Amino acid sequence: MIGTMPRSAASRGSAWQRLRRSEFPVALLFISPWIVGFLWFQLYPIVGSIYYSFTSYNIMQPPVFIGLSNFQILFGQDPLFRQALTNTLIFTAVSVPLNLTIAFIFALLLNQNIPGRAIFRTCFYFPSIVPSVAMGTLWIMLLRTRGGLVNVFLGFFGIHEIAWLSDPNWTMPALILVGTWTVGPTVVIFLAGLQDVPRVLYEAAQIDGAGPFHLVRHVTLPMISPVILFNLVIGVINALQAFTLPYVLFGNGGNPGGPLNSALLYSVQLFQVGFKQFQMGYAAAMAWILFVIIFVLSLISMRLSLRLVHYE
Amino acid sequence: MTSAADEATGRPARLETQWASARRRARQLERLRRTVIFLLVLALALMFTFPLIWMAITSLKSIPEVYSYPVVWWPAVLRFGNYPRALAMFPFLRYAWNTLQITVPATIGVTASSSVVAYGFSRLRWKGRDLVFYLVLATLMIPQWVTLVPLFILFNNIGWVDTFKPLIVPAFFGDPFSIFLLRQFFLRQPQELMDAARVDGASHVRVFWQISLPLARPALSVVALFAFIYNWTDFINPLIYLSDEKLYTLQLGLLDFFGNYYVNWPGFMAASIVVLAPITALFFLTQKTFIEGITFTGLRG
Amino acid sequence: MQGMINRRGFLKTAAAGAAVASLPAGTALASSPRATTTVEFWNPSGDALGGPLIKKLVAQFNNGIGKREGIYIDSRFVSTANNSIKYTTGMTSSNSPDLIMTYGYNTVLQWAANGFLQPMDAYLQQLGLKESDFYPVAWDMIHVNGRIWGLLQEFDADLLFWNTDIHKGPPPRSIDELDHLAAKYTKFDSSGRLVQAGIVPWAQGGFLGGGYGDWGPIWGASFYDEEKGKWTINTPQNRRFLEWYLKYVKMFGGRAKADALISATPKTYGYADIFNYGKTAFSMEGEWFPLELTATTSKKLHWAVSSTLLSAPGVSTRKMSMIAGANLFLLPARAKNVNAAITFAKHMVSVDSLVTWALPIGQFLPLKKAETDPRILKAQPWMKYFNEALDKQAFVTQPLSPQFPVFDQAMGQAVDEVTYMKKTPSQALDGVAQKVATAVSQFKATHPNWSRE
Repeated sequence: MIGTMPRSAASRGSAWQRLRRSEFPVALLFISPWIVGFLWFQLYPIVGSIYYSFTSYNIMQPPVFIGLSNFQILFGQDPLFRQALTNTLIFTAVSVPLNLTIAFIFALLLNQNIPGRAIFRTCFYFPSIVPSVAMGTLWIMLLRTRGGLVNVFLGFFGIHEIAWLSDPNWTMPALILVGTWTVGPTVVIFLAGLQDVPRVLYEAAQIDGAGPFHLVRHVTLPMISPVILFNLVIGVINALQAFTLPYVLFGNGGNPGGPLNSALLYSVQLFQVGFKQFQMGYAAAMAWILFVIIFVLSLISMRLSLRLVHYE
Repeated sequence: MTSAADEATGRPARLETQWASARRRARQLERLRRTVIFLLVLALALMFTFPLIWMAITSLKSIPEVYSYPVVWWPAVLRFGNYPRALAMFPFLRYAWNTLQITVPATIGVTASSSVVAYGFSRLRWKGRDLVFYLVLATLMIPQWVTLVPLFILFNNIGWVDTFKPLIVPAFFGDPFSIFLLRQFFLRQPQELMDAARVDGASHVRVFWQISLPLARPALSVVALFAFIYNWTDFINPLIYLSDEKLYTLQLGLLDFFGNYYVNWPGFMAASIVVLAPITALFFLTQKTFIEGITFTGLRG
Repeated sequence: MQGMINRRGFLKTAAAGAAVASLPAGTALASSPRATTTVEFWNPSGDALGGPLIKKLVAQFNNGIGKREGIYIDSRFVSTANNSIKYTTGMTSSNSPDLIMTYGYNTVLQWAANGFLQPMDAYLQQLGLKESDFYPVAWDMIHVNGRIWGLLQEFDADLLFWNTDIHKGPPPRSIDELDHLAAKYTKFDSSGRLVQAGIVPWAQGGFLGGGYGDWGPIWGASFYDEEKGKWTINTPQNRRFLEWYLKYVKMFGGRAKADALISATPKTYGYADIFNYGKTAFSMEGEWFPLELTATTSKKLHWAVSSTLLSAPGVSTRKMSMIAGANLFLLPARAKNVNAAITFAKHMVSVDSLVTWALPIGQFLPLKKAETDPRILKAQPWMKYFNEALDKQAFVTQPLSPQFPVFDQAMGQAVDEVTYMKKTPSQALDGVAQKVATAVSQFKATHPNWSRE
């Protein structure tokens, strides 16, 4: 207790009682900004958008109710929807684990006591603050089949002329490759998690004769498993909604889905439908389907966590 | 066998030497390990930064050199003149000022409101608290496309389109991610501290203002930094809400640069680097706080 | 940064252009103390050539007619890259601009059908224009579904250009001749890489992705029945240009070879300029091409063009290209100062203004009087051939349907599917037809006032 005189038993009793009573009214005060914001900027648009998904709406004219028609067309007659969904799921399934692994390894390395850590951390974080337009054009230059630096680099290993941006088989790897470049924030969060692991645990394990791999597997990983979960869920949510990267890479002077729509991601198709074809109702339907997918996948990740994540 | 020296130190001399050489070996191994790791990190960092180095080199080239094959690794002439020329091609200072006018209030808004809300979800006990908090988190899962158009229509109806308001006002109502981080942090603050103050008759508002908040400085700086970066690099929202070119932000300004027919690639790269510089400096200077702050929030649990 | 990067290039004039372009777009070069009505005018002219021209024309107005009639033009720059979001959200807001200018035609009918624009029929007299002033094909572009939806400033079409260093004789007059010559000029290096091509048709067939804009009409394709207003996509005639593409895929040994050649060439307009850099003997290029060329290549290209209309086996009509690019002035539905906007529009499509625009750039002008202005022919001698072709009715409109963007994207994919040997021409066009049919049914359900598909 900070510098207080002991009070009489009676007043102490009522003070404790005061503490224990539900603090709802005060709490309401504190969370009121969020509540207002939620009602105004989230609930209202959410309800509006649910309604729009059952209409045909081009913003200029009032929405026309068409029932389930949007969903019927999406699931029945829209090959681009199917392709975008497939592409996005593949992209997520590959890039999220890949980025997590890379970020974890980087974080492990950066956690070591080496000189210039601050500079290195900035190096890895840097790409995520590059303006997206600049990043896109930069990578277009780097991924050129002939003369792009990626292929020049691969040329040293005897790999020749991969048509990253024009060969339908290589566009998805191109997206995933560029996606690994922005692991910076994930690395930072892993770093924070790593630094939180008590040294004692490492030392104890080392005394028992554990080598570095053993340490990582049996000490580090369990201890940062909540962080891994966090990054996993955020990673999945972001990957499913990826828009800027593919749009900038392919949307320049051509089909934003890339050759044969091999790089068409869900958000890009949504954008096309809504803002190029002025079918906001259809786009809203797509947005809600996306939400369902995100929700389901997040739920699955959290369920997994109950079994795999170690809490203090 | 012991010697006089051994008697003095109380340890056998041979063991002493053995330990000394063992320690030396351990130190050497340690140094080797650190060197290897350092080189590895250096290599990775170089690979990671190389695209940006390339961007810088490109910004100094002449236009034909940019796309020629075989690759021009180093420009024939270092055209530093590309920079002032690029900056002259779009109203850089005005756009930068606009961006600041949006980013600074928004950052303050997010930090202030999220800390208040996070306190309500952590240091106060009430029924349904955790349930409502999951609702807050759930909103993270809503794709931005769901709310984009209705929000635009909403703002349009109240005449906020073509002003900075849609980009600043929502920040003052809390951001789920920041609320989450701050809540984690508040949860770890020692309960005794609060209880003591409360028993002394302090209202929750005072506890928040005078105890929790000051203690939360590392977490607050993380939130503020994230918010700053997000707002500085946001481009979809300014794109939708700002029509008047006089209100454009830096990100939009770059986009204009790019969207024209004849793209001056070196100039564009130069402009991008200039836009990048402030944020990079900011991150470099504050990263220690950044990482510590995230550590203290304890993402576990 | 979307598919609307129009291939029309604008010269990067030297310091003068850059200096003027550095002025913030809202700066008025005129002061109008008596201005009563302010017309908000959005335009995409931020580029080094178009920018100063628009500023000049706006200033001309503000200083002249504007002053007399109490109108002030507030000109705002919105880049083409932001067009779809910006213009859409702008036109629906309560702060809608009064007049907009586009670098492109693709969205016009969509906007029209969805109520973003208001028709201009009522103002034709005020504008001092009548149908006979226009070239028929230009008139058809703005007069759709019984109304006038905008004013053309210029439009673009293609003819066959050739590299006189590679091909020294007269131009081919038929597809067979072209094929023969193309085979001759296709060269590989020792490792089998394509280093020069006669022509890469799907990449050099005009601005619309996949080259269907030029090779379609050349091969007699008709994707849309303008009379009936119905799509006619998967017909044997329409497949012929795709079958012809396959010939070239075989000639190169796979599409990837051509892609590599394109990738190795500098890009100035968002896609490669293999013809500009001397990598191909032939190309379909637009009337803006010669001036675009001078500014952008490091080596001088020796080129020639003629008004020869290519004949294709079994095709009776002689068409050379769809009109795929155009600049237009459009009147948003929620514009507030309509009359003032029309007065300004009249100035912008006057013969003098049109010629001012076309002189440094090289464009087709929709008004006969403007297009045949002697100043243009003097500055741009190659326009003689383009005008001849125009008179021979060599150019057709693109499908005048609000579903055009869907069709365009689907056709691009179809061309890819065929050239990557994933589908036969019939299957590919079938895919296009289906996508368009879905779009049409969605459209028809909610747009009863538009009688065309």
